[in-house]
This record gives sequence, C-alpha cells and structure tokens, in this order.
Amino acid sequence: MPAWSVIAPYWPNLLSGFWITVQLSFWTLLLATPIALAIALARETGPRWAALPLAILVNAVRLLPALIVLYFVFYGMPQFGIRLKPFAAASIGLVAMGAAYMSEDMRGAIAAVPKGQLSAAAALGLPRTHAIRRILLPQALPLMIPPYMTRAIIMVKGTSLASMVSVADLTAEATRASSITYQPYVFLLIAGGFYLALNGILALIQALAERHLRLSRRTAAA
Amino acid sequence: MTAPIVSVKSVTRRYGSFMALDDVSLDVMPGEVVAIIGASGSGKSTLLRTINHLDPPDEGQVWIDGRLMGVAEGARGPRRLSERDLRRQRSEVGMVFQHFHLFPHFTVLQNLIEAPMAVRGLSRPAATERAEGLLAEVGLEGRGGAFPAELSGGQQQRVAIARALAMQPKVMLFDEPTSALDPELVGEVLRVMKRLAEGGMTMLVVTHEMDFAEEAADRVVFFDKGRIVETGPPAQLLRSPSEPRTQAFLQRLLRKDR
Repeated sequence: MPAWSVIAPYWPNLLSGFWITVQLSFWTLLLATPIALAIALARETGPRWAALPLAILVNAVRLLPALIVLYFVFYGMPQFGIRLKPFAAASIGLVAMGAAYMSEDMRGAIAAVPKGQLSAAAALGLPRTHAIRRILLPQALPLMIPPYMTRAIIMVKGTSLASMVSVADLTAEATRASSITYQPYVFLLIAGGFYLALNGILALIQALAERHLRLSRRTAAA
Repeated sequence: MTAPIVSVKSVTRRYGSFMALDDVSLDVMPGEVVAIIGASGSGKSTLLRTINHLDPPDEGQVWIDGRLMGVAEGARGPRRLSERDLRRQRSEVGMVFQHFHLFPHFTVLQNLIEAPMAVRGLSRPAATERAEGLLAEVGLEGRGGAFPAELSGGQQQRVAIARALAMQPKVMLFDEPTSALDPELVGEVLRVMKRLAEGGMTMLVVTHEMDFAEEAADRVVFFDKGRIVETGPPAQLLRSPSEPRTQAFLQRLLRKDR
C-alpha cells in the first residue's frame, strides 16, 4: 500500500468526484423514476395510440449503447444548437437510458396484476384513474420493488460513463489520479470502495423493503 | 305491458375475424331471471360484457332501464358518452365474475365500500352500514375485517356478489359464477343467488349449472356460435328442446354428469 502521501494530494478531488457521482445518481433516479412509471402506465393502461410510439421510443433508447446516447447528447446536440454543460448532458443521457430500462421493469410488474382487477373496477363504475391509483398500482408496486432497486444500482454504476463526457465524477477523478501517479490500483480501489458504499446503501434499502413487503404480505394473506 | 329493463338489439361483436356475437337480440323484463347456457366460446360471456359495455358492441344497441348504453342524448342529437359517464352508467349494472376478482389488498369491507364511496359519494359510515347489511345477507356477517385470501372460494364469490349489490344495481350479470369453485362450495353461492332472484332482482346468469337454471330461472337461452339458437321456459328448453343443436348440447352435458 503506497503511503498516504501519494493519495493525499488527490483526496479532495476524489471526494468532490464522489459528491458529483452522488448528485448524478440522485438526479438520475429522481427524474427517471416518474418518467419510467408514466411510460409504463401509458403503455399498459393508456390509449392505444400512445402505446406504439412509446414502444418505439423505449426500444430505440434501450437497444443503443449507453455511451452512444451520452455522446449524442454531449457531442451531437450542439450541432442542432443545443449546448449543454457536461453534468446536464450526462444527466439527460442517463435519465433517458435509465427511464427506458426502468419502464420495462415496471411494465412487467403492472402486467403481472391480473386483468380482471381492472375489469372488476370498471364494472363497479370506478373512474379509470381511481382504478389505477387504488386497485392497480398498490398491487403492482410490491412486484416492482426488487427489479426497481436492482435497476437503481445498475444506474448508479452507469453514472461512471459520465466521465467520458468530461464530468469530473468519481471515475474521472480516480483515472486522472492513476494516470498522473502511475498508481492505478490504489485509486481504482478507492473509487471502488466509494461505489461499493453507495450501492451498498441501495442494496440495504432493497433488503429492508423486501423484508417489509414479505411481512405485510404475510399479514394480508394470513 | 311493462317495458324490458334490459334490451339487447341486434348486437354484433367481432374479435378480429371471429364473430363472438352475431346479431343477438334479447329482452329481459324487470325481475326476470334468465339463464344463458351453451358451449364455451359460444359468446355467452361476451354477451354479458357487451351489456355493461366492458366490451362495447361493434353494431347494435343495449338499453338498460330505458337508457341507451354508451350514448348521451345531447341537445344536438345523440353522441358517444365520455368514459367517465359511461362508467357511471355501468355502475347501475352489477357484475359477478367467474374468478371473483376481489381486490386482494383490501379487506372484505373495503371491497364493499370502495365504489359506493368513490362513485356514489356515500360517506364511509353510510357505505359501511350498507356493506354490513349485505354481508349478513350473503351469510358472511362480521367477516368485514378479513382479507379475500383468508376466505374460501365460495365465501369470496359471495363477497363479490355483495360488492356488486353494494352499488344497488338495477340488473345483475353473473358470468359462470360457480365454475371456478370446488363442487362442495357451489351450493352456498347458488343459494345466495336464488335468494336474490326471489327478492325480485333482474338477473342474467351464464351458467353450466342446469339445476340452477331449472329451479331459479324464468327463462333459458341457448347460445351457439354467437347466436341465440333457442329460448324458452326451463322445463321446456331443458326437457324437450326443439332445436337439434340444443338437444346435442344437453345430451353432452348429461353424459358428462354420469
């Protein structure tokens, strides 16, 4: 292990990189989640004319490499006169990617709720929005949580791609320090430790949420 | 002569090229109990879903209590009813499904009060009082706190009947209400339905229970390939059907019973 003296000069940059990664993760998840839910609901319960364009959009984004999407936002959009700061460009690309994947996870959970539930709600005369809010979503949410949390972890890891469009995130700072000091393993190890800590929190939340769901389902079905 | 409370007029419903309903007409009088029989895939269930517009007909009309389903009478002539108004209209028709479709995340009581509160604007105490009365009627007094998964199939179906009744519908549609039940649970559901029939409720019942059709129905309708083949009082239609197709269907059923 090299001396602290090797790490010390880069420590503030690593910390600020970590903070950028946290912010990027936070905004990406915060924005992608409602967009994904809206897409999933529209495709599963919305009017037929909305389903096809959304399916095309989601698949176009989903089937592209994330890096191509990020490059497109950061390098491609200025050609159309849309110039964005690296952080904003990366956020937009990551939100688009994340929302596309996430909407597929959520769609699966919504589709897993038996169709008869909405038929029964309709037969009772419940308004559609009421049926979605009170009947469909409460049954779909427990099914959504495990894939959602897994997706959230994948998205947090995916923020490291932002380093490729000049965002000074954790990955960018760690690689920069490695290439200056020729001590890659120590800085990559530190970066890895930070990512582990961040995703560890998400994994912990997932475990707690799943335990909570198991318990509440047991009381409901007991 | 009184007017029919349900009037199906030349209704056609296709799924792709498949004719689920082919020019079907049927009038049901207030208080009448009509049993609809026929092979699976013959269009019986589609007829029920067409009546309450869960599956709106491609052609033809459905009238409930003198009002045309799915159509609003505007100042400038009839127009298509908005989704919201259609739902309101639909709430006058109760429906019971083969697989109950109770809301599993709600208690029995919440299943019964959700729609009366949201659609009819009943207060919680008023809806609860009505629900408790209905639970007693279907023999489930005091089970309001249970979750559907804690009940047997027969109990769940009785809750589903109570849930539909909580909207005080003018007509009740039953789509094979006992087909998903263990044989020993069929009786308790049929008893509730018979009591409802005796109470004067108008009922359309898609069923394979010939005993129920014989004992509780005023009229039996035999369906085949999306068309009404024959209709008549149970004693006549079930004992001495005039159409060869009805005879063949009933003979197949009898053989299965033995």
